[in-house]
Amino acid sequence: MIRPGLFDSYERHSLLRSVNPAIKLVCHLAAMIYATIVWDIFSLAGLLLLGLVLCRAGARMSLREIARALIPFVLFGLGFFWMNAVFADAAAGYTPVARLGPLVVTSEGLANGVRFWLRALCFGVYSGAFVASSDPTELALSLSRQLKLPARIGYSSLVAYRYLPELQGELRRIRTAHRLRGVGEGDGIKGKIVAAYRYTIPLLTAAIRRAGRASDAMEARGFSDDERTWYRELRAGKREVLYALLLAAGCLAVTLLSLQLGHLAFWGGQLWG
Amino acid sequence: MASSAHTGSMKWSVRESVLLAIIGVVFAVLYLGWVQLWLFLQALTGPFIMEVMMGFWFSGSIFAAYIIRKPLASFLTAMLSVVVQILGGNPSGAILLLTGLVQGAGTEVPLAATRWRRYSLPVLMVSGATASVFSFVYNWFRFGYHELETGLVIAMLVVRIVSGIVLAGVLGKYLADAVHKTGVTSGLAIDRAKRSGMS
Repeated sequence: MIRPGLFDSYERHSLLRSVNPAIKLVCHLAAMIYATIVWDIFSLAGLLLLGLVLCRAGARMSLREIARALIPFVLFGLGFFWMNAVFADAAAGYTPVARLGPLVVTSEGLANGVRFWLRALCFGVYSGAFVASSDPTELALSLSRQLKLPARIGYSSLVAYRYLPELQGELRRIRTAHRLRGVGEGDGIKGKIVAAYRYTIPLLTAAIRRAGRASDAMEARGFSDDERTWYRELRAGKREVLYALLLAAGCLAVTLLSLQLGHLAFWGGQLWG
Repeated sequence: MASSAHTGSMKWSVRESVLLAIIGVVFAVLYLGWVQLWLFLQALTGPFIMEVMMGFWFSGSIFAAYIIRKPLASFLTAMLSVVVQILGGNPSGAILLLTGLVQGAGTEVPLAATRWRRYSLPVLMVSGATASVFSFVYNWFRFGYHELETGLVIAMLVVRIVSGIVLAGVLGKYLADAVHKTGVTSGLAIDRAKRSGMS
């Protein structure tokens, strides 16, 4: 998951900050879907590089911020890498390159693992660039205005989006409360699992309470889907079209270069996708 | 609030739509954690463990449906948590949208069959089991299960159904009941049903 701190960095001025959030969300989701379709290491690395440029030049994230934002994605990719490296021998014809006890590492498995890893990092950079450059309130407004979603869905998304970075704080509070009362975490994996189970119910309770408070506040202010006016007009125009074209051109350039060099391949449902 | 107090109304209140969004987000985070645990256990024990663990990935749908008790509650929870998971970096990527669609439809079908009126433990268990079957058929095509031995495929299907019943149906209901006891669900459909003596 994106680190909580990143959700607060949208106030910084940047190129991406000035792009309509709903349109930007659609563009980044499209880029992520594209990263799911291509399957050669060269194209995936190209898309990752493009995303890194978006983070650095587009959203003006510092290198440190980018690195911190990518940590969870690196870890996630690691799991998939490991999985593929040692378990892809199920399909016949894979070339073994190493043996770790009972596990056989195959070269095809290693390559698939690297691809999944790059894919995870691609998601990280496009998500990160979006989160770091988008005002949540503007996102809700633009979901209703540009994507024509009912105001209720736009604002429900806002509440949920705002809650995401708070989840970690919530978890910390629950953990502290448990420790305070002498309910510590056990050792090792088993202790972690038991603890996770014990945290789930308070976490869900806090979330439902939060949803109730938010909706009470909305209804108390007369919120409804009926005819309404907007206190801030968000527009989408040439800038958004330009952004979508630039991103598409970037993806196309990566693809063409990859094709030129003879690398281009598309995903064909390889294991653990 | 007043608008959410119409018993049996099929219209969603503001509270219910905000609640669904938040449940989707929280379960997306739990699912991402579950993926990590699955990867870890799979590295230790092999691919069969996925069948054992599968049900948990439907638990949020059942949890939301049992609390909100409206058409599409379980389906929308599945879709929303999938979108959050993609943004949160699940390397499976966009194909998860299809996974969410299949699993969400799986939990929704039995609930729709009761016209969204019955949320007893057996109905929720069937809902979890159906999601298992739906996802199994989907995986059959996606991962080419037809290449595996028949005995193994049957064992996988049976274990996955049991997992759907226990980790989605029973656990989803258990979590919702535990949350209900804290009182935060007062005024919601689950609370009205329990007050009127239904399950």
